[in-house]
Amino acid sequence: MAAGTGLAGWQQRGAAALLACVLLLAALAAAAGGEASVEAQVKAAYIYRFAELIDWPPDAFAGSAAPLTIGVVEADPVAAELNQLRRTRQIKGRAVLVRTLRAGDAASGVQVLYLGAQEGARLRRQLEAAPSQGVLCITDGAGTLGAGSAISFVQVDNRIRFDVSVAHAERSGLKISARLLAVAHKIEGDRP
Amino acid sequence: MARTASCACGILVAAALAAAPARAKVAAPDSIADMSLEQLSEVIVTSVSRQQERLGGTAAAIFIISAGDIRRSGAQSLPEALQLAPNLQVARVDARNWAISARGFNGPFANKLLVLIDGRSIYTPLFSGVFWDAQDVVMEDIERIEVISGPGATIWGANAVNGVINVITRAAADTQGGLLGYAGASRDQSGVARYGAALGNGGSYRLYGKYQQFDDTVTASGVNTRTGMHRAQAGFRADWAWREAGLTLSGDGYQGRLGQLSALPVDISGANLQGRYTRQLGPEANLRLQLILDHTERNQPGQFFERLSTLDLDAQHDLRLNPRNVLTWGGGYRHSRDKVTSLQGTAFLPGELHLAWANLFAQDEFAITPALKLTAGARVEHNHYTGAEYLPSLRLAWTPDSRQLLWSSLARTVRAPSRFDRDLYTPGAPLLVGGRRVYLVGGNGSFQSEVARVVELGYRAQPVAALSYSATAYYSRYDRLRTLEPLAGPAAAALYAFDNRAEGSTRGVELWGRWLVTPAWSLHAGLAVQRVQQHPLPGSGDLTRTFGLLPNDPGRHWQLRSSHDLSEHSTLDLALRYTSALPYPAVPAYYELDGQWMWQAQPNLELALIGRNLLHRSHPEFGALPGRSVVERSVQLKLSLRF
Repeated sequence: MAAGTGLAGWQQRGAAALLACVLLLAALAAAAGGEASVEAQVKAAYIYRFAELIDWPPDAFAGSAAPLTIGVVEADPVAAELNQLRRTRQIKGRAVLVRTLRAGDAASGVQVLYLGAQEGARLRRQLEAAPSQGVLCITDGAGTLGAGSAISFVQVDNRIRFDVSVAHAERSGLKISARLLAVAHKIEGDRP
Repeated sequence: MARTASCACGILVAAALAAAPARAKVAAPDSIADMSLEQLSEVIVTSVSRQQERLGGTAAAIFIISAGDIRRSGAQSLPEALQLAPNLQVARVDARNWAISARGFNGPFANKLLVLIDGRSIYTPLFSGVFWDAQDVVMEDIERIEVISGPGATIWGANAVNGVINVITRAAADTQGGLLGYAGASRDQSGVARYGAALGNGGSYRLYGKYQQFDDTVTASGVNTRTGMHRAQAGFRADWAWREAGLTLSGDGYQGRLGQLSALPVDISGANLQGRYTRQLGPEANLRLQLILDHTERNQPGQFFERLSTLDLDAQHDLRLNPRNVLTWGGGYRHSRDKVTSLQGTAFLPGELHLAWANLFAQDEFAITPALKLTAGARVEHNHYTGAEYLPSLRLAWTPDSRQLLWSSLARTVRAPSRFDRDLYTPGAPLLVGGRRVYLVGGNGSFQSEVARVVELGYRAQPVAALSYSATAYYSRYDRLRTLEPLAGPAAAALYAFDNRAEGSTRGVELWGRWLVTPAWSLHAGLAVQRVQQHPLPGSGDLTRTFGLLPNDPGRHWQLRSSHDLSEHSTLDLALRYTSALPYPAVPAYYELDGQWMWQAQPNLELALIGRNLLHRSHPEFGALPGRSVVERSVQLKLSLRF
């Protein structure tokens, strides 16, 4: 392709300085890189905030000192991010465990179950397989509350927001604080 | 690591946005973990990667204009919204005509940019461009506008030579309830009414009506150009979503009257109906089918009267073949009946023409390593005039980590002939010159496709949550560009005819970035530097310049936008833009400032004060003296009521 000769012309252009600047920036950014995406960081932080603002039924935990376990299905970046957070942060005075699950794994013994974006029928099957009581189910994508989760992430205007189904949360024996509902993007079912 | 990161991002901020010292405080990567729910909901997570996936893993110079950007800009029409994209050059020609292009070759008849609204192409086969005065969308219903500069032909087809604009409207479920809006004051006004609700069977719908009126513009010496217009449009969209499938039906109808100097007004009207069905065939396989019916009429007294009916059928299937390969393939068929009644000014011969386009494409994304992806694709598109055209592309994307992407691409694309190139005769009836009947400009039945070969290199990064930027460098080589050649010999039916006797090149850099300075204040900057060259081949007697058809491009244009949340209920947005001088016809460089102050008076009532071109009383953006319009300062008040 004739592009080679054209690119040689760059050397005389002022634009070359810009390009050099960009490459320098790239090198610097590369040095700074190596972390998970912002999206995964935001979702992990959300999951922490949610857990802090939910009341579980007493029998959801093995004991008062038992850890809070977050199960993550098919969302490795978010799991990685949660694993970073758990080293330095507790939830409600409990240590946090993160379990990476594959689709079809039993989700017993978790208090929070986060399912990464996947198609409707699979999602529904996994939610049906999850324990019916004492598990906060969080799904990813607009309209996924319909599969039976209590909270779903939605992307609105390049930002991550969340929808809440009060009915689904109550069905699992969970109480959602008004503070969480106040920030929700959409709420399905009546406010308590 | 935190130290290196904050040091690097300080330099980045300083360099990329020309902001002073690296003391500027940006959110450290760690701080997201400690944000409140409210703060988290304000973090911008760029949707670029999602778009890439949809574009078949291709890496391209893509800029997303979000619904929030449009709302905060106060844009009342599509061209005004497109001014937000740093990789587009948008110039107002007069009250209703715009010159919009990416990477050069701009003009009111710019023909190297493909524009789609929800997948419906709005370019006209009459001249391979867009009649901007016939297009409208309810601004509040736009979900986002994807602006891709550079070739997109493998996925989007011929005419996506220098760029693709994809206007995507919101799903009906996201526009429920009522909206009444009015904007008006010193110039121009528009009104919109929209209502959306749920349908019984799990679907939802919206209905809308919009009216728009643009005042005549004047020339620098104050002469009225009579190019004002008004237009009314109404339409609907309904969506149904099932477990694994979705259906969208939408339609629009419009009617308008456009002013023109020294002639009766132009009447336009049109309607379209569109159905789209998507189905998930498996965990990683999707099918999309789309059918579009479109009819437009344009009665331009003194010139021509066009009636164009189009049927467009498209299918696309994407699936993961194995862990390393994702295949996207599909095809389409489009048929148009173009009926042009010739008037005094122009004739398109034959007057009635059936045009058909058929295409097949396939693209495979191959993961060489998890971080390095090669996308190879090709499209064969058959058109009425030149038969089969081959549109291959090769893209390489390297993601060393999830915060950055380095990419490169090679592509060949074409602009297939339009009726303008092949069938245009002017004036409408032959002249008697030296005893024989000839046209001034006559059709050339052998006009070929213009060809572009493009190489691109790009880098995108989001080193910290608060800062993201993109840089692209490109070089394109054009062959068989359109020229207007004198015809010799007594047998010639015209004095001049279009031919493909020029070549050219473009090279340039596109840079843009976004910096969330505080949760309530963000800065956006964009710069395009370009050099567009076009040379006639030896032996060419090209006269496109004399006929005003030569593209006219600035060497650079940039913009700087500030979006500030003054309080929970009010926002202030300012946008400074600069365009350097245009060479021929000469248009001086200009700076202009647009702004909007928006106040949420009640939860359902919004008031906005919109100022456009505030720095000068008036300035020209495109065209030749003495008839050229100037763009005047304007102030508008906008009211929106939701119920």
